[in-house]
Amino acid sequence: MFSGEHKQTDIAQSAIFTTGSMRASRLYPAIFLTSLILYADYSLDLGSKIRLSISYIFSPLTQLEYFASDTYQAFNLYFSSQKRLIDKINSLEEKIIDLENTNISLINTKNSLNELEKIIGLSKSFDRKNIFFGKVQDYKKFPNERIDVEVRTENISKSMIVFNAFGLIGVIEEILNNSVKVKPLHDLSVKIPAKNLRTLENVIITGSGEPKSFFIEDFKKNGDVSLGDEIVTTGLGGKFPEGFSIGKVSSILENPESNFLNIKIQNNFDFKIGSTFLFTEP
Amino acid sequence: MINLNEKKTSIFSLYFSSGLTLLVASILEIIFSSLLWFRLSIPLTLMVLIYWNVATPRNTGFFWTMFSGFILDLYLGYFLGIHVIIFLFASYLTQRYFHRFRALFRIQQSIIVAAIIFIYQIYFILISNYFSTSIFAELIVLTFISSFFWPIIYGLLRYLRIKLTYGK
Repeated sequence: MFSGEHKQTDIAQSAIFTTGSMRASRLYPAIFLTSLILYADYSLDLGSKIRLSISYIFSPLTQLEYFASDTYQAFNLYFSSQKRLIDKINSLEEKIIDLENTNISLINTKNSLNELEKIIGLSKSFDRKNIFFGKVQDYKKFPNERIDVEVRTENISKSMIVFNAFGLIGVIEEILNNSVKVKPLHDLSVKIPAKNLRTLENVIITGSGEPKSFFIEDFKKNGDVSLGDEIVTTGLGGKFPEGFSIGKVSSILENPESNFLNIKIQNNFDFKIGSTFLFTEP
Repeated sequence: MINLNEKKTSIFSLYFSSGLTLLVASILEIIFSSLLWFRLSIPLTLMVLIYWNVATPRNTGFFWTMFSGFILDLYLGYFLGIHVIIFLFASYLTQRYFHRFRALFRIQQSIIVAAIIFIYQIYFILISNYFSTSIFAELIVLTFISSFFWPIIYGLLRYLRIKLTYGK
């Protein structure tokens, strides 16, 4: 181990005093030639001519650089312009979706305004009565058809009746905290005092349990009734106001085993249509 | 048994490889000098030349030295021969004293190379007539940076030389 290190040290020590076989005389021709070229360049501007010739010879290579640069730029431009186009299309598609949403929102607003306009028009007929508005919260079909309406007043009473934009649609079943449960007019339990507008004969209307559909209760076979007769509320009993349309006679069926006719009344407005309801005393 | 033909081939390829590395170093030096804001440059060609003269003095002729020097003169805008002269002197000195240089530690070699580069840069300052505080700052900074380049160049070229000579 130590002998190896000594050997290396010996080599290094001997190398310090060793010179290569290079002699200065070998350098003279090269120095002479270089000096000659240097003088020629100094006096004849040889360097500029060589540079010019080299640039001329290598001009295709220089052009190649520009060609590569131009190609790269064209390539880049193609993809960047394509990317810009795709970005613009995406941006426009997003704008279209936004506009469609705005349009839907405006249509909803317009419908709500129309509905409110109709309801406010309706409310003018209740000049001396208190009226209250409520927003529909929820619609339930089972077990019974009911609508939950949000109200922001404590002046709602159970005797009030409910209108939507089309007309009389229900009665209050239950008053809750800040909301009420509305029962439709076509509920089986509802009975409405009404009259035939043509004959002025008083009748009792009962709910059929199906939307837009009612029956005239206990109408005798010898009574005067025709298809299309309009039935309106009489206001008798004070539960419903007078003069509101219930519907028109749509069918008259005779039962041989009964003394009464089976008369069906139908109207055009649905109980569950609308987002704003109006409450008032009859 | 040594195959003489193989030996000749390896020397031949070494000669051209050393020339090629000098050429590459010249091109890199030209690129660096155009990229950097310094008026002086990192003398990569000189360092490569020193390596080949120290490592294989018999195989490094003056042709490649002159060739790389002329290329630098042409592209860096000097009179033809300015680089060549100093390269020839550097070649002469390194070939003359390569035994002593080889025996030094790498850090000592770096210091010697830094000293050669320092003289080389001063030579160009004198030729170009740049005398300002900034040029002396450049001289110090570039000499310092160049001395760090030496071990890298040494390692790379040594690897290449061993590959070409012994093929492993």
